[in-house]
Amino acid sequence: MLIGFFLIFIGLYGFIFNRNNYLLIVISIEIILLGTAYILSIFSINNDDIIGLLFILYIIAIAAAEVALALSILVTMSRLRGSIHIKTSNINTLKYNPKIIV
Amino acid sequence: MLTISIILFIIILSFKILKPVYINRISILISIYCSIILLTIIFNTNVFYNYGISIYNSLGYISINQIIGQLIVWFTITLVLLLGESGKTRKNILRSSEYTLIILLSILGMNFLLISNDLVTMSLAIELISFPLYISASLYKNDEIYEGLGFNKNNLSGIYAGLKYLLIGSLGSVFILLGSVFIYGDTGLTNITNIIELLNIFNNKLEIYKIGSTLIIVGLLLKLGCAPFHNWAPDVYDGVPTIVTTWISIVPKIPFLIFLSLHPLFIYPLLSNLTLFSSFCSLIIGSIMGLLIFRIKRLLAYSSIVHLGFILLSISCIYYINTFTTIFYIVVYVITSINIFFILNSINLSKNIELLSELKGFVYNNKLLSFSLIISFFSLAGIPPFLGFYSKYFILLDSFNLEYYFITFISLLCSVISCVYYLRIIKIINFDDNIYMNYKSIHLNETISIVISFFTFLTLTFVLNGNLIFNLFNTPFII
Repeated sequence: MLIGFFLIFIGLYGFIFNRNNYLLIVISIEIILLGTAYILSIFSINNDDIIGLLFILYIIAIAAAEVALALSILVTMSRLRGSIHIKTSNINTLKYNPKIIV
Repeated sequence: MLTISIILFIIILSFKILKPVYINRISILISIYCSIILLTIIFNTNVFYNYGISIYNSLGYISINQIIGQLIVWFTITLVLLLGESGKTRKNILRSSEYTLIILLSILGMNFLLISNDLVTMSLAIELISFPLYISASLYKNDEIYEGLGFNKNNLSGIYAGLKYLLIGSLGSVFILLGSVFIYGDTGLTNITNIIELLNIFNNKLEIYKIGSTLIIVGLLLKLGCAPFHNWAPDVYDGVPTIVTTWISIVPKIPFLIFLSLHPLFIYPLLSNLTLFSSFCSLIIGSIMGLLIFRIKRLLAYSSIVHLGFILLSISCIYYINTFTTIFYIVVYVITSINIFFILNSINLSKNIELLSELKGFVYNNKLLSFSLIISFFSLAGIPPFLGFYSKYFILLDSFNLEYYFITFISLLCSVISCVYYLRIIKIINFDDNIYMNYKSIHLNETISIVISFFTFLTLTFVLNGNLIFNLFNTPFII
């Protein structure tokens, strides 16, 4: 059980404090999902129930689909902009446009 | 049967035998057909009056409230698909058939979420809603071809908006999964009805269960974009083309909110403090931050945060009151904001507008269109004779009767503050000089003009015979 919580906290730490690369954020989300599946397996063994193990299969499928989507968006972004670093690509370009005065 | 036939329909359409335009038209007909079927079910059956029917081996549950939610979703999606049919927009957005197919997939997920009565089905349906939204946010990434969509040249913000939406949304779904795992570990059950029975036996003494339901609520609030987790919403809604904003800012909120209001499992009295806190934050942040904004879609995003605050206020009282007020507020919000987005899209047909200052003197260009825009902004602000006033009135009445005096006072104050930016738009449209308004006059489609005029008529004349609508929905809404 502790290993699962440890994985979840590693993933959350990586999601919040990562300032380099979008790919690392995606990987940390995957780590959170791995920890969730691990905790779920322990719960299902404790409860002596098969539904938890079925739920793990669904979680793995969801994780795979999410990674596929994120990678496809990252590939298009690197093709258009040339890099997937967070600092070089300013995500908030739309926020305030000081040229135009209301 | 309906869902299975929609799955078959999506599979058949994805072979690309037909042109994208025909696929869009067939989907419009299908969604009209579905909403008519759901309407007939609502008015013709007294079978599930106080209770529902368990379906799919108790993975799902249908009562009259679920059917009303599905009806709202299908009706809204008909309008969203109709929007892709107009002139220049059709040439651009229906260049490929993915747009329609993605919307249909997401609608499938919404129907599954509304009828789901199991933690596994719930989380899978939420994923099925979310993935097509990420795709459609990042679908239109290139420039120069999308003139009619309200999108700048050399602006890669669509792909950034999609990436941001994906990362935050997947964090929310991770929270939902984690919460359902905790609930499963504590109770050993996944069926929501069984969990409620177990809670009644144990008198709400399950501690890990409380952590789990808190995590589920946090995940849902993160997906909705309510206030402590609101920062992604204006960026995403502003970064994508206007038609996609119409789709991703209005429609996915409906099933989440109705699901929250139908299953008070997650908000039993102790936990209603969480949604109350979120509604407090969203009222204050949405009304004050909106004063600083001068981009239209960004401003509409902040106004949607204020309205989410009102809906969350009524959801946190839902343990004691009817679901009628919540669903009525959702319907009114959908009607007015869809009207505003239709008008913005029809302005985009002649010239892209992104800033509020580009609406200066719009009344000299097209008087009727600007009149309906003004009416719908008045209705969003909650000025008395219009439709938006009544929905706010019911929610404030309920929360006042339940003796939530502080939050009622705060919501009154915040609706006054948010009046400022709605009235500023009306001032810009009417009384400012015609500086930026040198583009040619707008020619509307028949379909778009019919929709705009119908909704404006509804907003205007609700005060004359409101009982017509209330009597229509009075019987099904009683729990």
